[in-house]
Amino acid sequence: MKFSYNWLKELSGTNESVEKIARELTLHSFEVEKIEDLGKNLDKVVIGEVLEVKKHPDADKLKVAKVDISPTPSQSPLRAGGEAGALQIVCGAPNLKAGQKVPVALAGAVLQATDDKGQGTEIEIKKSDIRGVQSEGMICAEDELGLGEEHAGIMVLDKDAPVGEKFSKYLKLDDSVLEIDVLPNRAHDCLSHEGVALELEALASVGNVKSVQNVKDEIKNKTFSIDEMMRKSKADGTSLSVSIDTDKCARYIGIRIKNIKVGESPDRIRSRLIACGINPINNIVDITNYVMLETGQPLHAFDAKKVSKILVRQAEQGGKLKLLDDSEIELSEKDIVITDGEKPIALAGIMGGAQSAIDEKTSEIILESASFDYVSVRLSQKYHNLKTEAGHRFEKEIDPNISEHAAIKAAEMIARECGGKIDSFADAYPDPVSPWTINLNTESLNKLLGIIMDKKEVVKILERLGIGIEEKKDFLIANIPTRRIDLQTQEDLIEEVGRIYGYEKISPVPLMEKVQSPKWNEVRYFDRLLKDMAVFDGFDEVKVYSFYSKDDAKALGLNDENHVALLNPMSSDQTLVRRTLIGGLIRACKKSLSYFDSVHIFDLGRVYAPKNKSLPEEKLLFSLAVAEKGEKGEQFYLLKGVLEDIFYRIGIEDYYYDDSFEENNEDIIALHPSRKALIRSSSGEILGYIGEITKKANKYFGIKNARVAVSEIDVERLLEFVPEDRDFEPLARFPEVERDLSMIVDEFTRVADVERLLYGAGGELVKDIDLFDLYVDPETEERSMAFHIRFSHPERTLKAEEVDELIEKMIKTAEEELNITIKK
Amino acid sequence: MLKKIKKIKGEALKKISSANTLTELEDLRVFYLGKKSEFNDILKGLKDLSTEEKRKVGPSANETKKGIQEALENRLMELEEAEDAKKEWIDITAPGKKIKKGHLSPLSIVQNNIEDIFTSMGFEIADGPDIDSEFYNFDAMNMPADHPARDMQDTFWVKTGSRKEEERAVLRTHTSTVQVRYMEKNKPPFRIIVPGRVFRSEATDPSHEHTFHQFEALVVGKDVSVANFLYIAESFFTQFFRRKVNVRLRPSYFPFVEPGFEFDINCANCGGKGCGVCKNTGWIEIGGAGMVNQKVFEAAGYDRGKYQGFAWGFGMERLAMIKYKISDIRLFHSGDVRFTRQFK
Repeated sequence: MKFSYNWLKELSGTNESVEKIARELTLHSFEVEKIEDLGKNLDKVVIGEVLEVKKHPDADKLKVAKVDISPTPSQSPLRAGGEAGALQIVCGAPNLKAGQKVPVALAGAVLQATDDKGQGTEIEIKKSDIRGVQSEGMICAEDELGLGEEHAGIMVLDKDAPVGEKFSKYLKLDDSVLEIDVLPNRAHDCLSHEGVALELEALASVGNVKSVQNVKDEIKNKTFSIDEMMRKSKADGTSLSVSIDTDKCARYIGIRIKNIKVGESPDRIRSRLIACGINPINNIVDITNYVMLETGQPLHAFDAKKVSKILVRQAEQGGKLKLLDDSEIELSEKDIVITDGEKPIALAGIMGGAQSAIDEKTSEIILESASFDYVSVRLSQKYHNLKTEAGHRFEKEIDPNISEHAAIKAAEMIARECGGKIDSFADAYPDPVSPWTINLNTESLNKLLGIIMDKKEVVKILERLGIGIEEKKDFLIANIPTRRIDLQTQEDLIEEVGRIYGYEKISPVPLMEKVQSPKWNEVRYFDRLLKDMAVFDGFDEVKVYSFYSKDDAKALGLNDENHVALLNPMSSDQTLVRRTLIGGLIRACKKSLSYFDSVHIFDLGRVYAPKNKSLPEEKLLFSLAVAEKGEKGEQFYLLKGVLEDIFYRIGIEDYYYDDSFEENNEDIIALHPSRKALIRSSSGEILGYIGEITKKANKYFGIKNARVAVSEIDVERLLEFVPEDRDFEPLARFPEVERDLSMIVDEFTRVADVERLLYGAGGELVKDIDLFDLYVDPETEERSMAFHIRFSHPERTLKAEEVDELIEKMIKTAEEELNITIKK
Repeated sequence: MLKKIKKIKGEALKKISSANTLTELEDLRVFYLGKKSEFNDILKGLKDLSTEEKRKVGPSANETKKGIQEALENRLMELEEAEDAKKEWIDITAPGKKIKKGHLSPLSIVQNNIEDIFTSMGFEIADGPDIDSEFYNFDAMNMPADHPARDMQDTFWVKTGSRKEEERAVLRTHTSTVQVRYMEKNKPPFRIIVPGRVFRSEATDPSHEHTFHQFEALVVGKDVSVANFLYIAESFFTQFFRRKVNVRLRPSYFPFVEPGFEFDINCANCGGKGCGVCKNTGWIEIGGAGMVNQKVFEAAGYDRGKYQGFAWGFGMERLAMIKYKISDIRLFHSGDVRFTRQFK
């Protein structure tokens, strides 16, 4: 909210600079986000009188005005500078007329402007030639002076505005605006100048803002009461009927004021509203806004000629109400409405109705100062998609006792400024709120803050916050003023003392709790290990969003129904919660292939499977992708090699690749029909899969001239198969014998089948069979494989003949079982 | 005889060491050790000497032969090496063989860093689900049913099987969900951090993402205070940024802490004088923190007032952005490897 520095000064009595106040508030109360010097650009704007208006000789839409800016001689700061006298100004405003008092920007003034793109910018006013006519300044519209949105015409000032006076002085714009981010738990008392003034006073208690005097008694003690006001104004037998028929309205004060004259507010009120970013409208509306800015209590005024009584109740479902802004809403039974006993005349706490609105002819009003249920107001604002200043305050909960204070203040101002007479009042307050108490133990305070503060200082701080203290032997009883709805527990009070005392005065202290060796997070450790190994194998980590679209799911061959779906997605391409990371990885491949020929990437993250009536099942997946331009088709083997490397390094040896499976539509994406495999543990459990993506996926994701192989591994499943520390095996004492075997094989003969046969035929003495060449002759299309085969015996050196015999046996078996030809 | 041998040795070693070509060296070998050499004659004549003389001259002659042979070999090696140096010259300024280089996301680097520092301070790394119940995300954190934070615009909601509105879950909006989950299973004192992915349903721009990462820190015991919090926070950030970091707390409000703080660190860029990085304040805002609200302890089944502790939830992207001066949070999830490849 925007706060006027002058206003805060007046209420709190402080003389400190605006910068100092901002710093102290930021450290102890609320962050001051911005300080703005209100009149800063208006130095060279003065009040002028339009003497005559003529048509521009050379432009239809422009006029040439003579504007007098010379004040009475003795007051003129400008005459000395030689700028006095009547200026000639070219102006295009349709509302320009002779006799008007207007703000005139002189040469050198820097004003706000809007550029072609609607962006705010600054322009410097210069003497210039406009289509052959000399123009010596500019007559300004409101927006150019930073005072509002109005740009339809120039700003016309009161007739009595003194010619030649600085515009900022005239409008009392010699003020600074503090933009304060009031915390949500203090919105009920500090979206007001009084609330922040009280904060400033409390800060003075510890010498942060030294020169604050006591805040005006008016705020703290509320010396007037409705009763007294009634007595004072001698209500002569008239009465106002106010009743509440809902538990969503804690209090409703109505005051009928007669004989008012609607007109423009005095400058003092206008300038403060402008400082706080509210456009002045008329004296009645301005005063309700003024009192709201001062006390935090939103007020409303009805035209009393159109409303005879007040009844607050729940709305009827489907009822209609035309609001002040001329929109018509359909009410819900959750809304609270103000009615005239029959039909709704306002949406409570949010906006008044059009029918009972104030206009120039209004002579009698009913002023409303009430307290509505904050949840209802919030829900109604949301339901009707309305955001108003009043709603913004009511939805944060307001102390019903402030209603009285604000009502009196506003009624008095209206009586004073609008010539009104207070006629009658009514105060429906079925359950008055009284101050409550909180017990505070100073020891607990010191223990929580980690400081040593004596009781006296604690008491002093709390008392300056307006909290009454009763000292008991072991604790303090704090009497909480009702405006501090946020103070409910001992910790709330500790926070008050802590922040006013100043957190910057607390020194760091090491933890005294005993240190235990932290529990080892094995999954996290393993997660890091896998990432590091992928990086060592040349893979780049990318991060993939947790959402994708139904089309993404379908393109990957997954059932889009079998997903966790967002109830409120932000866009149609992010409606499902992922079951695979592959979609994101393919997109990343596509993006990165524009810069590189070869992209090796991975991510490690969670996927989510829906479960009926419970939270989704979350799995951690290690997902990799290899994309390379060209049709060579080595991507699969490269990725397989990396997986084998990683499995080797984490100690997993017994696993196999299974190509006889169907994708399940659930958590395994569709893969290239003849380039895919499940990775299974020796016991057959699925650790993950590897494969090239389908043609369909390639097309959907826009991958061109490149092949993409992907793999996803279930990290926690994999972890189950990582062996414990292994036992040392004695080094082999007898030499190994190695033989090579090359063979021509059939088109679909698999390496694994050949190896299995060779192992079987070779028996125990075969230590290892290792493929070292897989080759298709480009001319004959003959497919050949070549293996290194190693033999050893644990207890003796093998004889050459023994090995020859085994090799013969292996060849014979292979030839019998598979159609192979040994190459000699 | 001995004199003669000595003379031959002296002469031979001298000439060998000054031989400059392989032919020259070969000539010297033939001249000194060849069949027709003077020295060979001496060796041949040894058998004619008396036993006593043999004993005197023999070892000396053998030694001389060995010496000359060694000198020849050494010189040969030297000359060959000189020859090779020319033949085998390589351009050592040419690049080494390309090894494919992988890179971690800066997010992982920062997370590893955070985990290492906290592990060294005795913190356990805890975990919780990304999709959680309203209870753990809101109610348990003192955000009851009518709390504005539950509004649709802030939170992603998901169906949990059934179509009924009540049966819904949230994509956690903070890692604080793990606070009560952990406290239900563990008794104080403990200290944990919870790194993890969180979600907010808000429009994205250079400083806002709907998906980002936080790390929660939670320390609970009998006497854990604001002063302890300051100590842990300063220790961590001093290690993380590898400079002395000062921490500033400002009042703030979060329902699950009381007192609540906004947490700033001093700006390294300007040393506190004020610059563009810190928006001229000398301080950089890191995130929210506070002393655990007793209502949170109650939600976890602890008795009110029995324990106290502090908690914070800081954004990992934010830390990475400060550390590496990254200007746009959306780069983390951009999938552009040119981004990842900058971080080693």
